[in-house]
Amino acid sequence: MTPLRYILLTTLFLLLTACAQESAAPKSTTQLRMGTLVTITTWGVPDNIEQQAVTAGFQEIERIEQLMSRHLPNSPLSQINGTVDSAPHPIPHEIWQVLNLGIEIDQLSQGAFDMGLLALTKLWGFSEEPPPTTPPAAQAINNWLKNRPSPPRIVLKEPDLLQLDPQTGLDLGAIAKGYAIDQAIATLRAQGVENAIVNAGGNLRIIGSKGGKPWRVGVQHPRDPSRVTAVSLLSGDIALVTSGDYERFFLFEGQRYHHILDPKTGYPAKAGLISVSIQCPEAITADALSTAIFVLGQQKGLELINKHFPNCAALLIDDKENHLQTEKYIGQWLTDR
Amino acid sequence: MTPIAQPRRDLWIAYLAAAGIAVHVLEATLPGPGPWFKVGLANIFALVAFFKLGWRAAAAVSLIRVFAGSLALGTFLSPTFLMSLSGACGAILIMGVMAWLPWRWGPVGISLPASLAHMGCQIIAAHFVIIGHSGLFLALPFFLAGSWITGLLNGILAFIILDRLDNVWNILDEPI
Amino acid sequence: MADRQVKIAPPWRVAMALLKRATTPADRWLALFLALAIVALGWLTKQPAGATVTVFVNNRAVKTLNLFQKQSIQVDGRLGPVTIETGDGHARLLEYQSPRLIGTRTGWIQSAGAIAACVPCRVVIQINTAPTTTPEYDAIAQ
Repeated sequence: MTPLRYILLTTLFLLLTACAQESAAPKSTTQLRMGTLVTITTWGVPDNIEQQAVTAGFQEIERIEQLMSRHLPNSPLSQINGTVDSAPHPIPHEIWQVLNLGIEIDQLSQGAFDMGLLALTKLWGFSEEPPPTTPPAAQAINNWLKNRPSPPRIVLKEPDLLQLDPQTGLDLGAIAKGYAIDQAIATLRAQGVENAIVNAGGNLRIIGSKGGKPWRVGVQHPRDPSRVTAVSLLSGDIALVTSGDYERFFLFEGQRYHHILDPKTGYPAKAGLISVSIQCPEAITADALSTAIFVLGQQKGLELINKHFPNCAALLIDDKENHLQTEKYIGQWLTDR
Repeated sequence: MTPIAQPRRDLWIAYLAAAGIAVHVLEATLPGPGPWFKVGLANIFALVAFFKLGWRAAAAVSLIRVFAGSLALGTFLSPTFLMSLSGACGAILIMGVMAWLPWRWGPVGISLPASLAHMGCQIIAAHFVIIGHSGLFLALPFFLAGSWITGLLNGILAFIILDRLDNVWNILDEPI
Repeated sequence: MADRQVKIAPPWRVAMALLKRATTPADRWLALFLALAIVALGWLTKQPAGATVTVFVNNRAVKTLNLFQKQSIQVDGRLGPVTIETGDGHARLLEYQSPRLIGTRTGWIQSAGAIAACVPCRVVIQINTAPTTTPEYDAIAQ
């Protein structure tokens, strides 16, 4: 009897210790970058490598902000905006690459995505402190529309040359964050991190998983910030970027004025959508597309994705809180949460 | 050990249970350090029963003590009784587990885990019956530390009694 | 009759001898193991008392505060002074100069890793306790 007892005892002990084993938890670090909270989350990385990789990731984001920010007077982008002639000028290669993709989306979206809205954006002032509470004078917006030179306003030439219309100012706000996220992910990978999330103010890209368990990503409800409206279980390599009319906005005389401007009207886009979430392999594409589709509205937006971006997917929420997912969208709508 | 005839065995269980009830009632009337911080001297007799008569007898002594003790104190079927009962059941179960384990235990080795189990089950019962708040569990380590000390104490006292008892145990078996 | 000195053993030696006689080797190991287990349990459940919140200004940690100590400090944010209060296991950010008051509206935070921030002030506070439960979402897209 006694040997049997020993055997049973040892197996019981082993079972208990096996159950007691904790699975590693993801580690997150948050910093203020690009005018928002940026969180880098990693999983399964030893502490010393994790610290190094995360620091490198934030440094990369800082570098891109210094390069492409229109708010920093000495950034290369601001210097580009300071040129007054339409001759081709050499520009940093990275800016050239970002502009290249931006122009492609501009053309495919029939001008819904436009990187040359600096003057209009400044007029509305959504990124200024203190933020606006009233819309600009209708006259000012009309003037802007009237005085706008006809396209093409942004012309790229090889190698790394840009011909920018003197009356057009570049604002990469709707695409640079995505680029920064992609670069941060690349930096993390170069440091040996295989499982991570880079989340810049709600725009994110994930790589890997939590040891086989997918990352649980929620999409915030456009009208109730405490609620999650859809859950996506993501693993592998995918970006999820959301554009909504609730991020920067003000209410004036019963109307909502938000920061996603329609280049054709000069006013905030009113195509019937309040939130657009795009999933793409890269954050830069997802970032630009989310703005484009928000401006285009459901019908044209879906056309754009289906025809020209087949490896991207969308989740659209309209102003009546109806929702629509394209086939490839990975996510589950949550009801009554 | 000479096998004890059943009437003799029942007599011993009765003696030990009676001693347990007496001590239990006495302890209840004495002031104590905290609400549940009783030394639990009555458990000594259950331990004696365990080592002399086996686990079943120990269970009987414990349960008789809990029921009769609560009747004597007028707490029968009260929340206190439920806590006391759950504690005793926990202690009995652990004593059974210890008996099943292959190592050789003395009274202290049985008393310690039984005391901890008694306190643990009492706290769990208290959580459900009296206090719904889970803040109770934050005090658990303190309660358990106290139970460790009383468990050690009761074990030693049980040992002393068992030691002395060996001298008188066989007297009852001698033909009168 | 000669007086004989009766040697009485010191009490602690008597106690030690008794303990040795009263316990089996298995008993002693068990007693030690259980004592350690209780200490471990006490240490594990005591974690909240070590909880702290770190204050970041311009992404640099400037102060770490004890969540259980009632206090109110001020740091220099980009738009003016920002007040941070702690006590009773939670912390909050109060910024009276910021236009949107998002940090203030976040209110008291206390769960592990929770953040309150005034982005224009460039001030962020984050709770430092190690998480005891897995969070429901790894990230929120907004």
